[in-house]
Amino acid sequence: MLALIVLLVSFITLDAGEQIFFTLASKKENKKIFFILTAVFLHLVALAAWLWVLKLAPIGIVLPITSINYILVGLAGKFLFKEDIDIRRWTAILIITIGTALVWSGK
Amino acid sequence: MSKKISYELFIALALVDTVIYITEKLAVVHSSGAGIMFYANIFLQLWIWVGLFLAVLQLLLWLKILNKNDLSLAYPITSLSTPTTMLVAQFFFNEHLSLQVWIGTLLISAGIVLISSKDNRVDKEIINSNSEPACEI
Repeated sequence: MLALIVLLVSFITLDAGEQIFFTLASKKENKKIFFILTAVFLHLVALAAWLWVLKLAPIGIVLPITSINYILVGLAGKFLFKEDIDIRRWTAILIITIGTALVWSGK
Repeated sequence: MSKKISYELFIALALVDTVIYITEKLAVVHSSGAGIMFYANIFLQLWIWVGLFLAVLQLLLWLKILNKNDLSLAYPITSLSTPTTMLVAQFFFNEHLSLQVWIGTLLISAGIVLISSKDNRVDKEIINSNSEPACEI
């Protein structure tokens, strides 16, 4: 159970990290390739973690949990990139999080 | 953000995402063997290479989108590919969609409409900043 939690948290963090590096790549011309390669690397590590997660738990349980990433990436946008997120955008992010969780668990 | 959202890029991304999911599914379905051989055989499938080629296109589209939009705006909109993939999967693989999936799809759609609808607050700020000098006079 502990291994599953650690792997799942790792996957979610890596996935959010990937988006942070893609955003950096889109903003910083001089280090673009470095940021893209870092993002792709994080993606591959995340994929490995995800395949391991799927060995430990059914996809119908773990996939809906990963939709929390919409909130995490929103927080990354707010605190790392100083994006101005109003109540409308937070509401939309919350609705989308619930929506994807429903879709992914409602097979 | 008062910047206009380029919907074409998001629609193109959702389309590419969906096709990638389908090619991955086709590659996995056609791959045989057990354990590590199964993963090795995936790379012998033409579909996985189609998917990988499209992944490069997906990356370029995503960078273009992030270049023009906030991460906190763009990332939630990518959830569009979840219901589109489900709908296409229903066609290609005769997968059954439950009521819960449809409710989730409705919520995702509502969220995308809400997040991409025009931000009135920014407009008000522009109007206010325009009217300020007039007030001083």
